[in-house]
Amino acid sequence: MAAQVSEHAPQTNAATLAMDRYAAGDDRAFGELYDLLAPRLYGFLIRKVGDAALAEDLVQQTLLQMHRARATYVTGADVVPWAFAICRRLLIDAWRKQRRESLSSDGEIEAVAHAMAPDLAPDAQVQWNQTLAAVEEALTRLPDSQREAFVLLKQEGLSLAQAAEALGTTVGNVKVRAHRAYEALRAAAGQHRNRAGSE
Amino acid sequence: MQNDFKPDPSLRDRVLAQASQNPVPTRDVHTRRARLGYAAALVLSLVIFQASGGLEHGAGRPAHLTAIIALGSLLVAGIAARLALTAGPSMLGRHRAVYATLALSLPVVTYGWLTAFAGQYVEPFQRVGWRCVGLTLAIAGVVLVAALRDRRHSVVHHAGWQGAAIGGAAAAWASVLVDLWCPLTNVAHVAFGHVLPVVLLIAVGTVLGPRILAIRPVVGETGGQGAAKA
Repeated sequence: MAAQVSEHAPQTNAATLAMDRYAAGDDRAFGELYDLLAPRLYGFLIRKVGDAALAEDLVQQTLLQMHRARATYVTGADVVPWAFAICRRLLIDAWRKQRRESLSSDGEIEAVAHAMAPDLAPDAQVQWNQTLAAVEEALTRLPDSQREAFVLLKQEGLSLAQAAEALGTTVGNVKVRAHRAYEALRAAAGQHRNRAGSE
Repeated sequence: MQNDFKPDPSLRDRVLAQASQNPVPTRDVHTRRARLGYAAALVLSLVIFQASGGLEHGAGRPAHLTAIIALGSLLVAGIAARLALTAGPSMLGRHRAVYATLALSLPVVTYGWLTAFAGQYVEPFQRVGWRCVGLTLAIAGVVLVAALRDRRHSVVHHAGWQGAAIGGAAAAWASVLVDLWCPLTNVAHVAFGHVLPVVLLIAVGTVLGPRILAIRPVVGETGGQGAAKA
């Protein structure tokens, strides 16, 4: 996870600097902000909703909310957790409004696969795919709070503090959620391997 | 773990176009406007205070006690305003526990502080406290409007609790002036005339927070294709 944090850190700092310039009156900085944040927000959303049009609409709305809040931006405040928190809030509102909860977890499964995968020989690929299917099933059974914590940390590369801010909770709580998600997925993968081994 | 998902390239142009079509003030301009709004609320508060009788109404209490009570209330109001009206170092505001503690403690602090002076002097008259309730609501209402206007549609987390804290901060500011105005500190009067309006304003803030402070989807400004499909 430390590697992921450092991987995103320059973008995080650049986004914060861009937002600060935008708040101060540099209109061009909004384009930079878009370039730094939109792909990450889109990736987060597409894994949650599995609908490109809805994901794009929510990315657009998130960026426009940040544009609206230009004047109240606190100098030096971390932009990334703020952006993800807005994004998540808008997504929840959209779900509540439409009374629909659809989850597409292909990307999350990929994240789990990368997070848990050992170095596989090519002939083990079939078995690994079956394990992934078992993990996918386990992931759909996870509470949303655990899934969000897992995705923000493992897939989006947010730090614990950033994920806690985005989710509106404490660092300790995010740790607990992510750990439970990780353990549940690990257990699901282990059970599948045991079953496959005994057959 | 790389993010391989990319939005449609045309989305960038749409977002930038929407932003340019809906200009918002820069931070400096907004700060000036917000200060103007709070200054107007302050002046209006003082006008209401003076129109209600001003300092003369509270003249029946020893002046030094009035000054001590008002200074204590001013300290509480300052802390409450700082916690409720500023976001701290994050764009996501303070932790929910801060807002909750502030909102829940203000009525207790108000009651404890005022009744601490009960019996230390002979009260000049007895009142139930209806006028204190009315004056607090009138003054705090002005401040509350200015604060909600300043922070509207900007809160992502805990809008209800933040609204409660802002309602409490507005009530705390009103209490400073009301404590200069009202010379009574007996338990019954304080509970009804001074604590009840604080509770009412916190309740009002709790209700208005999610409606006014919370972010709203930008309906009509975006394409809304996805929202329509959701």
